[in-house]
This record gives sequence, structure tokens and C-alpha cells, in this order.
Amino acid sequence: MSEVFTEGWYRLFLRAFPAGHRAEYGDDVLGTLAGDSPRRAPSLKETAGLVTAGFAVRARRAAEGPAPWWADGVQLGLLVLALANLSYGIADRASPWWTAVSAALVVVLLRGWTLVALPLALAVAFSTGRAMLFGAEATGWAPFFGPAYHNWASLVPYGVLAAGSMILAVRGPRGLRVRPWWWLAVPAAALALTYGPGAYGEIWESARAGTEGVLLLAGVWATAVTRSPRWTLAAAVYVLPGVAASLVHPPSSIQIIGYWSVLAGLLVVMAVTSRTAAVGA
Amino acid sequence: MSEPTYFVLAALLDGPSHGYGIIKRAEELSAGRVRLAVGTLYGALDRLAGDGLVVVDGEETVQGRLRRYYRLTEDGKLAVTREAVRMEQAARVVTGRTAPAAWAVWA
Repeated sequence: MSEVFTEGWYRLFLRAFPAGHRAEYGDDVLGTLAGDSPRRAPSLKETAGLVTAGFAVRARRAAEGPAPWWADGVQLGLLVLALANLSYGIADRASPWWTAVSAALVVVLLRGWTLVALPLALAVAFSTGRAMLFGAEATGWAPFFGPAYHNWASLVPYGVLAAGSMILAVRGPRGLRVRPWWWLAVPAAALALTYGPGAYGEIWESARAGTEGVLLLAGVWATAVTRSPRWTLAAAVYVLPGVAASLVHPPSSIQIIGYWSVLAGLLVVMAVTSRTAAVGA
Repeated sequence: MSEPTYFVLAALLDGPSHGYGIIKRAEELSAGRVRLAVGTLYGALDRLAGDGLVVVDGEETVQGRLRRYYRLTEDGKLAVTREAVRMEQAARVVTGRTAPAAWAVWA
């Protein structure tokens, strides 16, 4: 295998590190990877080492950010709720107006624009709760509204979204992170699964459970590396409303009970991990 | 302090070294137990530099590639020495109460 291919391979995985770290150490890392036998094929161990070390550096930088851990955790938790709201809007083929409002909420939370997020989150909470607030006839209101829910338990996530946005708006955007655009891969996947041939249904549910599982496992790992409780708080913002809804209206399917149990279990693991020693300290 | 971090610092006790040199020295000092992946080394160096335990000592270009040298700071020497003393004390708790013949199993 050529030296050029090997270097290109390692350069690709070097992207696991943040840009600042790559600028500081990138060339040195590649030189060290070449070691005393520059023509060898890429090593699996070194590739895995780049990925894990890169994400560990990212987690540490996130934990050392200027925003307090709770504000960062709330921002991340709200972002995940907003992504779920947008994805379900896409799956339900909601009106373009509604999809635009939901997408705008995702974007402002990504950028940390807390004052703009508040009216959008209130609009989402109002729209989803309108049937409970004003009666079933409110479901048919103007086309720019989205889906409406007919029980309070299902509205808990949207109440959390509104309350959290209020807290962040009062605190202000100081030091909040501008999160990367790759989060938009979630609604992009929702689009593909909704409009792809025969994709919606079991595949959608599997993709959703897989994404949640991967994100929660990443949160456990980031917590193990940094011992910061921010990821636990973010996970709680997303998982607890769903668990509460399942407790109020127990699902009939054993699969759904198992699914919520796994999410709650991962949340507990994350909470316990945040109280134990950091990995690689 | 984790074992890899300890051996990275220990490898630099002999003087400044570049990344590849640190990996080889750490492996040698740990009798082959600590075989650092390059990414792990640079993650550790970044953290240690942030904590003021190592600094960049200089750099050179070898075969068109940048090679950077790292050295221990006084705080770094202190940290690794303190850790060594701590482990020595912890080891004595056991080795002081067992026969030397029992150690040979692990040597």
C-alpha cells in the first residue's frame, strides 16, 4: 500500500480531533505515525487511537467551555428535543410552515441564539398543546400549525422545551457553544426515511432507536472522559419526559417498554459515571 | 494519574524527545506493557501541555515532515516524582509484608 494512501487514510481520521488541535499537532502526528517504516499499510490500532483520542479531546474542550455545565447541558438537551420535534414533523408530513418553524428552532439552538429560541419553542409548545388548551376543534386551526396532542403526558417534552428555552433566554447566550452543522444529519435522515421507497415504519423506528442509543453511549463515554455532568443533564432533558409519558400511559408493546428501559438505563449509567473517576486522567 | 500518562512523563525525564521517541521510550520503560497509539499520545500531550507539565522544546524538519520535541517542565518533573513516591509507598504496603520469592512471579 502506498505511503500517499496511508497518509491520506490517517489524515481522514485525524479529523476526529478539533480543528485547533489538528493545526497544532496534525503534521507532527502524521510524522510520528510514519515512524521508522513510512510505507506500511494503515494500522487498525492507530486508526482507532486517532478516533478515540480525537473525540476525547473534543469532549474535554466541550467540558472546558466558558458556559456553566448546566447551561451547556440544557442547550444540548433542548437541541435534541427540537431535532426530535423536527424529525417527527417531517415524518408526519407537516405543513411547510410548521416544518420551517421546527427547523428554525433547531438552527437557533445550534447557534446558541437563546432569545430567538424562546418564541419558537413557545410556538411549538402552544401548537402541540392547543387541543388540550382549547379543545379538540383547535386541531383543525390554520395550516401553519403542526400536530396537536390529546393527552398531557405526550406534551411533557414540549413543556420541557418551552421551560428550558425560557431558562436559557433569561440567562442569555454568554459562552454557549455554537454546535456543528452535522447535527442536521438527523433531520436529513428523517427526510430520507420518510420519502425513501417503503422506508417509513420499522426502519424508521430502528433508525430512531439506533441514533438515540449511539448518542447516549457517546454521552456515557464523554462523561467517563471528563466526569462532567453536562451530558447527563442533556440526556435527562430528552429521556425523562418520554419515560414519564410511558409511566402515565404504559405502552402495550413489550418492545416499547424495553426500549424506554434501555434509554433510562443508559441515563442512569451516565449519572453514575459522572460521579466516578475520569478515564485517562 | 493513568499509567500511559505516567510513562509519557517518565519517558521525558531523560530529556526532550519527539512523539515517536516518547512512544518507544514508554514501551521500553514499561517492559512492553504501555504501547501508546499515536492519537492517544497526542491527546495526552495536549492535556499535559494544558496543565503546564510539558512544553514544546523545539522543532525540526526531517524528510519534509515537521518533528516537534517536547520536554518536562519543573511542574511536570514534580508531578511524575510525586506519583512515583505515592506508588512506591503503596507498593511497600504489600512488598514489606510478603516474601521476596513471591515477587518473582510478577517480575
